[in-house]
Amino acid sequence: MKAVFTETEFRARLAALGLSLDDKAFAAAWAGAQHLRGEVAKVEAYLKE
Amino acid sequence: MTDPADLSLPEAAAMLRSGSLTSRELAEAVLARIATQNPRLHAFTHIATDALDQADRADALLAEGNSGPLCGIPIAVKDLMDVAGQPATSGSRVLAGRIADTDAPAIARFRAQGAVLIGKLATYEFAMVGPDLTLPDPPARNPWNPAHITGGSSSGSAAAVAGGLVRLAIGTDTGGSIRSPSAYCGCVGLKPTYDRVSRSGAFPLSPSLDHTGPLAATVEEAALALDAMTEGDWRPASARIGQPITGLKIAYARDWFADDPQASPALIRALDEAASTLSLLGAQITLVTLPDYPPFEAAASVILHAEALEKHRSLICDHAADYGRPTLQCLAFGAALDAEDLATAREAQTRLTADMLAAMEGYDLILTATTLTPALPFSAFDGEKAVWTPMRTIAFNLTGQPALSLPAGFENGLPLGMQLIARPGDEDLLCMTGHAFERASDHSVLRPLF
Repeated sequence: MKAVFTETEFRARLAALGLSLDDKAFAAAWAGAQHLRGEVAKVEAYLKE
Repeated sequence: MTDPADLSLPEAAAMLRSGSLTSRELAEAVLARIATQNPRLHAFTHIATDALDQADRADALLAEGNSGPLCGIPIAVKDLMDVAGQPATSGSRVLAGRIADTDAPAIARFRAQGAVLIGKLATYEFAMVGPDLTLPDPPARNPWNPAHITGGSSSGSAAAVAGGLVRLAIGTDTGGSIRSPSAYCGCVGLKPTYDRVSRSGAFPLSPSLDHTGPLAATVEEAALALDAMTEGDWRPASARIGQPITGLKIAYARDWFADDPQASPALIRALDEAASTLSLLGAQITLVTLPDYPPFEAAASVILHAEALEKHRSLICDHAADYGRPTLQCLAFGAALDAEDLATAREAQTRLTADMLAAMEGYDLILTATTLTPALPFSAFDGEKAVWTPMRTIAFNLTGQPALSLPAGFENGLPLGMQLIARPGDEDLLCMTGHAFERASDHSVLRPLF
């Protein structure tokens, strides 16, 4: 089981990409990132069926 | 006399071969239509400066009597794909000023057959997300109501065909980018089997899910275009056009859309009526429960975002400020994923594909919705963050099956689409059935009034 993906980790990964987002853009990107983590969880649940 | 711009591809081809119409006359009629309608629809981003020269070369081929069905026919191409000598910016400031050196292989096949590559069409930026009103090219508008979006990402392709600017346009489809704009704009969109048409020469969004295919005014025209683009040994999509569909077994996946509270009641009625029409034509319609949709969407989303970020990694480093905000934010989502997540999603892709093909056992085709609503108004988009519209398309990017969207009705003057899906390589069955439905209904012959 993976550790919970944190906002801090997401910020670090964006920085590694050289990507600097303003607060509004970051909020939208973080919401999308959390949604994608939810999609990963759905995929894992499907594979466990 | 019919305006040549309104002739179907087979009608125009017959007249070109008989000498009663020249390719130059056809190209001039199409250019005049574009000049009249494009300022309202913003479908084209570039008109080929050598369009009439191309038409003259096609006329020379026609005079030699050595020409195929697309010789002399104007075709427009989504600005995600390379057409030699024409701009190729993928709808982005990041690639502003880029001119393609060579044709994408699928486009080269059209050129070799004498088609007239008449111009480039609007796309959502890098085929990712839209509409974005802040980009240099204004977004394409829905011909049925310009206050509404076209859907995307093949936005200009759908607007150009539905608006009567061209009969045939080329698009790409990674999660529904041929089929959803076709449904929203009331034209035909054909996503072929994975790998049937070359993806080279198109800016990749997600190579595991990317497909190239036609948008057209009718199923027959889409089938002829696909055959012209196809590489290798595949049964022609047009081979069974006009044959009866008696005895065809169609699995009606009604619960995939009707159980979703986002589905419009008019769409559910339109799909039920489509199922009745297909039954009256002799097909056997059976209500089925397909594998659940959410795992398909989830696995495809993970693959798409992981691969898209990888493809843009170096461009983001150098050009982040040139991306539109919604596109950059969507690319940033992918930073939430790692290699293990992608491997997990690919494992699911293999299993989900097997599940879907097993569910089709005993059936020739699946019938379901393309999108769950008609096109949204532009006012629903603030230009800041992505807005996702509900659709049932990405599952078949994941499985690689061919899928056809065609007009099935209207809601408040806006088109609704239905989707037929076949096994890999069965585009002939798909187009035979779509054509039969089209002939039995009036949805595809209706055109917006200008």
